[in-house]
Amino acid sequence: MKEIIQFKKGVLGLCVMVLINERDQYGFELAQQISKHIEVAEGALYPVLRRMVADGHCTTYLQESTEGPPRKYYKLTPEGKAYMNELVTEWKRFVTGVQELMEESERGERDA
Amino acid sequence: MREMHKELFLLKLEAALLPLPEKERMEIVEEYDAHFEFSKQEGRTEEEIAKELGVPEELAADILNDQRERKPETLSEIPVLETEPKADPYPPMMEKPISPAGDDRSALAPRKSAPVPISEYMRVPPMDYRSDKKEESSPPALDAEPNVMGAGMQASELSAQEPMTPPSFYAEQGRDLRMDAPPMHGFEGPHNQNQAPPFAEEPPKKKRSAGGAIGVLLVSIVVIPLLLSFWGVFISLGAAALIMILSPALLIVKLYMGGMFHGIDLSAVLIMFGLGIFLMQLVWPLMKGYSKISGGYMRWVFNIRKERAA
Repeated sequence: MKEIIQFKKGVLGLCVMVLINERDQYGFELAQQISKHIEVAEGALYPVLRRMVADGHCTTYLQESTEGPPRKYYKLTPEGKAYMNELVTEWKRFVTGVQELMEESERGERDA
Repeated sequence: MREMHKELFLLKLEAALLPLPEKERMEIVEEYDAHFEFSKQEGRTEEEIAKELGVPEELAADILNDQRERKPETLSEIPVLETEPKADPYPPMMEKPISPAGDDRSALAPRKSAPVPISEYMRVPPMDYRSDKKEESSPPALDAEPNVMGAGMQASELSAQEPMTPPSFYAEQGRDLRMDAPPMHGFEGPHNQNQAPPFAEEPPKKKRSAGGAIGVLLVSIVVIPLLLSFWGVFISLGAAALIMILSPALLIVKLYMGGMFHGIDLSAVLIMFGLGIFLMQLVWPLMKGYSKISGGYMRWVFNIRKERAA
């Protein structure tokens, strides 16, 4: 059950980790990408990022920019990457399990 | 009209984050500030951005929660600025299994589907915008301590005007933050009602204010003498009627005492008797009615409401 509790906090975290695993990104970028796929209050992203940094799963660095405010980039740490892989596995397992459960229940309803 | 939504959002956020050490608080606020700037570059309005970000107090609550779990010693004992949670339709439970699909009351809740009017957290009367202008002149970073406290005060007023903060998430967060509220808080209401004393026997008393008492006193100064004088009238009429009715008896007493019998006495007595009965028939209902009135007045003075039996 701990995994599920983690998931609520971790779903966003998982998405972030997957994205920055690809390449370092700054907060706003991540917000944009995530909200393309998931309906979420974008503001919730930043507490998650903060948590991830505190957990040691990622680090940040600032990059000055001429066009606007300095950009705070997030980068996955090795521990973060390992954690991400764990979470991805768990997530796939979880989603599959839920899917199976629903299909079984639907089949049951049809047969009844 | 100048766009104020970013300033308002950041103000509320900062105020809600006051328990955090200043450095961390400012880092967080700056990151949201940058988010506004980046998003504006993409062409969105401050209003839209604020809407997409969510409710600043909730975001702050989330952050403070983490801080409390991790490093509670860093949190200062500033009371968390929080709106009063409304009656919670979903009584929160202590051990709440959090599922990604089911729990939609967190900051992760989808917000774009439900049209969230900016007024939801921006519900401030125009005068607050005027006072916001004072803050506008100082940069959003709000470095000076007095300014921050001013901002805190402002934000607390503003958040106090926010009745629409989703109550259930808030109540949950509030509980975590306070760590002392009983878990089954939501159930206390119905329980109390079961134990409430039945009101059938006791007439409920309304409390009268001091001003009301003075008013009653002044009215009584005028009314009571009138009341008493009318009672005098009724009493004398009643006494007269009584005596008239008793007049035959009086005649008998006179004769018994050896008085001379005059025929006229008999007629007089008969007439008096008749008139007495007539008078009594008049006076008696009037007396009853009048006693009801004065009784009602006295009850009003002492503020007792009688429940009329159905």
